[in-house]
Amino acid sequence: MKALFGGILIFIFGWILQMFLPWWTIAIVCFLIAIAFFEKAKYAILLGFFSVFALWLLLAFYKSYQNDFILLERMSALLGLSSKWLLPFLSAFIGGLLGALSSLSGYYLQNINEKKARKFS
Amino acid sequence: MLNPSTGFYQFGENPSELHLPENIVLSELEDEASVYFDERRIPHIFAKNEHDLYFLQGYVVASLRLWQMEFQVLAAEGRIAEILGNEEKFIAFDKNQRRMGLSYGAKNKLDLINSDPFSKNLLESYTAGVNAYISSLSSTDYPLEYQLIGYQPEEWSAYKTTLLLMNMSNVLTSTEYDIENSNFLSLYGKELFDSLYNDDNSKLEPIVESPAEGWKAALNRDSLEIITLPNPANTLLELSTLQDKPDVQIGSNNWAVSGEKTASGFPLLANDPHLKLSFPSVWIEMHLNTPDLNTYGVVFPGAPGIVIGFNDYIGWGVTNAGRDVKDWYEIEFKDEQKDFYKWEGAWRACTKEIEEIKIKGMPSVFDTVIYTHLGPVCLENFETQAGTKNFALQWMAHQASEEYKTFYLLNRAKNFDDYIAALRYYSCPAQNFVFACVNGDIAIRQQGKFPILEKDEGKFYMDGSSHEAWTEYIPFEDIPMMYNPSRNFVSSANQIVADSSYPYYLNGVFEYYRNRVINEELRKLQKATVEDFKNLQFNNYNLMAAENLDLMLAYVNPDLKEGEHAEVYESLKSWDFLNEANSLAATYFQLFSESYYTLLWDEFVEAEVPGGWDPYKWKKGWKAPGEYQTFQLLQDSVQHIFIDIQGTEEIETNGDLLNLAYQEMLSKLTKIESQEWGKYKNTLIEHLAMIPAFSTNLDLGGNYKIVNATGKFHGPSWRMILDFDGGKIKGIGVYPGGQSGNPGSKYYDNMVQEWATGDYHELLYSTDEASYQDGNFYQVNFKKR
Repeated sequence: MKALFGGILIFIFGWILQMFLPWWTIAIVCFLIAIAFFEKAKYAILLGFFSVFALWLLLAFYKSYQNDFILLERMSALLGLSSKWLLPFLSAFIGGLLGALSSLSGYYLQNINEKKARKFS
Repeated sequence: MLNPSTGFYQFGENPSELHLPENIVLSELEDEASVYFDERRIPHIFAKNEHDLYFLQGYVVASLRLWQMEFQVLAAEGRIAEILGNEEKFIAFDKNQRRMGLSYGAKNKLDLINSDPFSKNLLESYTAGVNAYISSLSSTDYPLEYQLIGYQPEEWSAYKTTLLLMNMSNVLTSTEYDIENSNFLSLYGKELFDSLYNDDNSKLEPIVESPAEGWKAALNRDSLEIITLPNPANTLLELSTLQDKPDVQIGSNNWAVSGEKTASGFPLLANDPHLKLSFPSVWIEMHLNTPDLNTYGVVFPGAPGIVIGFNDYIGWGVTNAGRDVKDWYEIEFKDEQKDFYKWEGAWRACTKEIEEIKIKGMPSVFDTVIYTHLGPVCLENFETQAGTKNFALQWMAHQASEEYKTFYLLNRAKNFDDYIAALRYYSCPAQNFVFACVNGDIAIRQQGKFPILEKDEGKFYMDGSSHEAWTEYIPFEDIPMMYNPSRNFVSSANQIVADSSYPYYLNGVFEYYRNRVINEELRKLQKATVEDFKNLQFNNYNLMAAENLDLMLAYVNPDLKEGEHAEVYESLKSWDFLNEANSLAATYFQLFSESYYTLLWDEFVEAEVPGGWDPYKWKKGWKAPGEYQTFQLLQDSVQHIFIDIQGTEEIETNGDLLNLAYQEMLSKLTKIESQEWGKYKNTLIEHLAMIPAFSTNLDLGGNYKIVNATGKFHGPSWRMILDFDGGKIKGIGVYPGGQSGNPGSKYYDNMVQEWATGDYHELLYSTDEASYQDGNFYQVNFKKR
């Protein structure tokens, strides 16, 4: 439950921060949330991936919808994609990987700290 | 690029929102101003003074077309490798641009502008506006192409605006073949040259009729010496290092009729300049207003004012003159150092400029350009079969001039005298300016600066050791012009400006078909309306086919016209000579005639055009006679050595060639996807950086040499019709593109359909600012900080 909550927080904070700040701030969000919320590596990977995947997919679709999908079509052709609908998924997949790696890094940091804490207690 | 927050997605504009905020505060403004964008994103700029007007024009154009305006200028300057990287063709392009002296000419013009406070202020205001827009952007806001290619815009400058004019001069004065003609001359002699490349225009109609009282000019022809032709021993032959020539499909139409010929009793005027069709469009459409000025039309992004358009009193339009204002001279250097060249039997010092060609991700390449009294040595160490040669280029575009002043004055002109006064500042690229006025006047004038040439001068390259630079020019008063002619119409379609009675030698490359169709239609016109003018702009009559097809078919053997081939033959025989989009015969004729041309001139034409659609491509260093001359030779049954195909044992005749061409056409027909003309031609509007995903294909009628000059890559880049009914101008127009240069905007190509289907939109130019505040316009308020 705690991990799922963390995933939702990545989605929400990611959305808000990306309105003002560059795209890579999503990595920091994932990293910090992972420290606080993800207790297992698989949670960090799965939730890091899917929360950013969902966020970027939604944003990509929303922005393209507002544009009547004009640019999505042209960029898909430019990248040689067979359908314009693939491109938001491609974006989301890259975002997902970034999310998974960042939150995994966060998880490891938390893990090291915990191990250290156990060692000295 | 792929992230949805700052990646490409942010360039997807919401079609129902404007790309600019409602309120913009700028310290450079002198007063308040407003810009109203209509549903096509055409800006109507209302400023209180001239400075703010041109400042805002710069600002608004940059907001719509920043990437395009800069890219064109960087290309003109020869800086493509700096942006696009280390490719042989980019570096060769850059070198050629520098050696042609595009920046040299731009600097000469800039010096003159800087010495004229009037022009200086104009360009400075415009420049400041562009730069105010650029500095309002953060690096992630720079247009999409900057993000894709990976570079950033520089500051704009008056120099860049002069470079833009050099770029247009380069496009519009490129049809000269001095070296190609010299090659022919050296190998085959003057007699054959004159008979094949005959530019006798006796059957044709020049733009300006000879005055009944004769030309005023009193040029004493005897005082001119006969020029020395290149030495036949100097055979050049294979010139593979020559840069590709821009193709010859660029042209334009314009015409005006007086009230005698219209339903309203007032003039009508039309113009459609044909240029390469591209995204973003060559033109941007706008309305400029101050308390002293109200003008509407199109302009090149990067230039101030309106280039083709109208105001409350007059309308004007342009077509290209096609005169040869580019001459080549052979230069002989003293030694390898190339510090001196031969001049009048002695040695004369050259000057040298070192050009640094930057290359993205690579060390720069350096090139030394040598300047002579005639101009830059454009072709240096040119390998020919007669040894290594050097050629200098003398080009009118190199000279200082103030063309923007012409447009500034035309924008404000109220009558014929003002129009003439404005044209005095116009040198290059020479244009045919058509004119009409609310008072009923019509006129046409070929305006440009032309050197006085001897017969055949400039047709071939000349000797740089004895030839002076141009010093004498055709006086302004002697330039052909027609003002309220008795025939009640004026027109031009890139044909020769005057007949052989004109006292000055006219060299150039001229059109032979469109102008005759236009004049015939205009002569017939009575009680003309805007509809008649629309129909004429879309006239698809193929005069070249009408004049020659029967003769060509007569040579074709009966067995090619029967059986399985009967359908093609019948289709050609019953063709109405209209190149409509659904015509099959138009495709047959095109294939038949281009095969004939290629077989006939096999000595000078590439057998295959690699990857292209162009009907033919001249071999480097050669120019075959044009289509008109080719068909004249056929009609007159002129026998010449080139009819024979090289490398075959037989001696071919025209009949053999036409039969072969007909067979070739039949075999090509089995290979093409669609035989319908529009689908076969498949007109392409190409992105400026040739990005295919940002380009568009269209199924349209017309072709080059046809009034509706919609070819494969070229076409009417702006169609405008002005109705002077009741002494108040009402304009309609359209261009194949959209106001926005952003591929992520609906307004990138929204007018293409309108253009393709023959629609026009009304050109709104009311002086009443309140009429733009009715809620149908996006209002942007500009305030002074």
